[in-house]
Amino acid sequence: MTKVVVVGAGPAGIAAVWRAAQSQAQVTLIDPHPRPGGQIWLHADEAAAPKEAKPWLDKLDRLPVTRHFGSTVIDILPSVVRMQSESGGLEYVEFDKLILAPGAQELFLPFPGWTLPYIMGAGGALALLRGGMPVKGLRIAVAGSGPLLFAVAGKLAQAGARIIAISEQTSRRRLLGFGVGTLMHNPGKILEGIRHARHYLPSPFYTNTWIKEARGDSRVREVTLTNGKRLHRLKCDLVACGFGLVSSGALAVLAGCDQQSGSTVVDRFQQTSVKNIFCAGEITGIGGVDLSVIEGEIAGLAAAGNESEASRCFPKLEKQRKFARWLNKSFALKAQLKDMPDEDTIICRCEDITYGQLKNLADQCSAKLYTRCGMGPCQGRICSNALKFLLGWDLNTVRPPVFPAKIGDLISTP
Amino acid sequence: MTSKYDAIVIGAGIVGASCAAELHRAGLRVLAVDAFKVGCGTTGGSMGHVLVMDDSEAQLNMTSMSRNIWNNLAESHSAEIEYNPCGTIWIAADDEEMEAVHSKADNYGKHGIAVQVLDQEGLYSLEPNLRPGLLGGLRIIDDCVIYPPYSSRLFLEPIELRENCRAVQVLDHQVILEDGTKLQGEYIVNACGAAAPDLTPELPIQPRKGHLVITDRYPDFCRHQLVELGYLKSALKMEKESVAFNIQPRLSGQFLVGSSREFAGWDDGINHSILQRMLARACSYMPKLRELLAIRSWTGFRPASPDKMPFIGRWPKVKGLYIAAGHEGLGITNSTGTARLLADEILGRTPSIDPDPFRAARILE
Repeated sequence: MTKVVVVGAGPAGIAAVWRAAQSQAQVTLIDPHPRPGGQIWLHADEAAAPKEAKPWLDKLDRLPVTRHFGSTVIDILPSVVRMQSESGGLEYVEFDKLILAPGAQELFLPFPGWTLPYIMGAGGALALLRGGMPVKGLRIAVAGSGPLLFAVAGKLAQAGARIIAISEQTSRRRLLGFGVGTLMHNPGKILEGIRHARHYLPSPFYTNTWIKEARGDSRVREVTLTNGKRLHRLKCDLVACGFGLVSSGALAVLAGCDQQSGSTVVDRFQQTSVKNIFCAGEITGIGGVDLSVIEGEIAGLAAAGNESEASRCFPKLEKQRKFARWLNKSFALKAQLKDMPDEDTIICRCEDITYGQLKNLADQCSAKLYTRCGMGPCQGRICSNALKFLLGWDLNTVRPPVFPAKIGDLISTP
Repeated sequence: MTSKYDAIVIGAGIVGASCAAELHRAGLRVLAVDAFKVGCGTTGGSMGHVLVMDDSEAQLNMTSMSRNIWNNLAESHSAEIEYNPCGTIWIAADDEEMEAVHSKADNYGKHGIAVQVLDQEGLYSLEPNLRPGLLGGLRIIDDCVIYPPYSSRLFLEPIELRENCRAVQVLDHQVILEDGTKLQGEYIVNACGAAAPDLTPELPIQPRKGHLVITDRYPDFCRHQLVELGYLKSALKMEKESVAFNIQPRLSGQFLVGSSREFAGWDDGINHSILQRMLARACSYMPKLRELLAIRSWTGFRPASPDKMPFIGRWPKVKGLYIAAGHEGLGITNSTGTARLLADEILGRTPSIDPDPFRAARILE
């Protein structure tokens, strides 16, 4: 029996587990969250699971799979993953085939004042809201780029926040184009959009606009938006900002999988450049839930040796990839955003490294050697993505443990 | 195309950088070249421990001169080199090692190196997180820690530098680069560390791999560079594999934990079994280390010579060629003294210490 280990229990991971188990593989699923669903279907308890996630979560429940929730993979060796288990100790899980489906993370782009308290990621704000953060009456600016902004604005407004601005960096023309394209490819998304829009519609909506700076003291008090010419200064209590999603590629980089444009390169069976390692979902490029599910299915089937079945998914895959390209083009980040940080803006929060210290260096290796940028506990998970956009630097080294681990756990033997 | 320099230093690790700086200070027109970038090899992966070692008279002279230069540099450039005057404590676990503490103390004392013999109580008052039952230690008061990549950059600030520039051959007074460019230099210094034999194949230098782990920030967990006296056994024998307890406080509040030694060619992957042995050894000396978070592990290659001595000085087989390589685990410490000794020879100055044990040509005799 082929031992298939799937890392990540979001849409791609669950689809991979389903298809691999269906193909008689012996499947193990590992995810850092206490419950399956990933970031996109994050929920506190079963009753709170999003409607669209239910069929998948139910399907997963019925599958004969070894589950390690609350467990973090910290290293990948040939045919073994090392993970910090829920109980804290280190465990080793053997695999014949490994499927990495760790999903995506938000892209934070630094601007003057971005480190003030109550400035957070759009997805982060959503997670806090789900965790019970009170927002009633708070004046909130939602800024950045991508469809997530509207969903976040909708949810925050629904919970009683006053959305004082939705600031989207892409142009009105591209946004409209995206709307039309979505209607053609995926009309369900439009309905979803309208459902969110009910809640935030009276809010001022800006296109072609981004954050110039934020000011405050013990927390953010004011945010200034700009379109490159005019300034809008707004009093606010919280800023939720995100500039779209980027692949969470650290595990794939660690395993030595080839990267291109910030994502892991895969062939049509989702096989990476490293033998026996597959990637599925946002790690191969941002494309949303539907694409992730198809990729997960293909990876699960291919890993279990069922390539003929996998190739039947190719037409669906192509359709979703087309939509993904459309999405990425519509929300492509403007070059002007590269001017958001000034000399004194902190880029690496772990080591307090400013943009001025970095912008004249050659690459990420120089930044590490000569400033320690990206060498703090987060290992550059935040700043390396910003620097990829700002300076074009590629993340080419990840060193184990990928997430901090107790020395006592590192010396425990299986 | 040819260019003419007084001196061309190949390799911009800490040894090359220091040699370039010393020759520049003496008024020479110096070019430094590196196949990659400043301090990105062994230098970037190292601990940055500056210490006086007494395993031989020659080593004591070299490390002591080198440490003096570092401590003087710190008076004007403490922040640039991230200077931490934490001192070293050599830890004695048994009677044999405690005896070594006393004999070493005598030896250091004779050479004017400030030391303090610590009994059990003295040791635990300085480092309460050590495991109970240790016997004492030897504190080398003026040892320090610096950050090697910053220091290399500082040394090279006034020097003409070419990065991503690989030298492929050294001929009489000439360096040939990968792209065919020929550079003329009266003096040429091979300071390529473990890769020095690429240009000078007769040099018996081998990469001796080591692992390091860095922790998150835990201010005051440990205040000195701590090394078990058993380290000397690990470092001085040429066994295939060994580990020894070594922990170093960084100014950031983080700790570097080492050390391991193995001959594994140029494979830079983590060797998990030796890493575990190394960390287990460290935890046996400091049990509370088990609770600290490790945030990264990596490897580096010490340039090991067969007789534990670096090769410093003229290489008679090629006109104008000098060697400054093969420092094993003491390259950071001895980079400054190496530069001094090399410049003494190149410039015809009276040698600062007896150069004979370090002569590069010894290997040809």
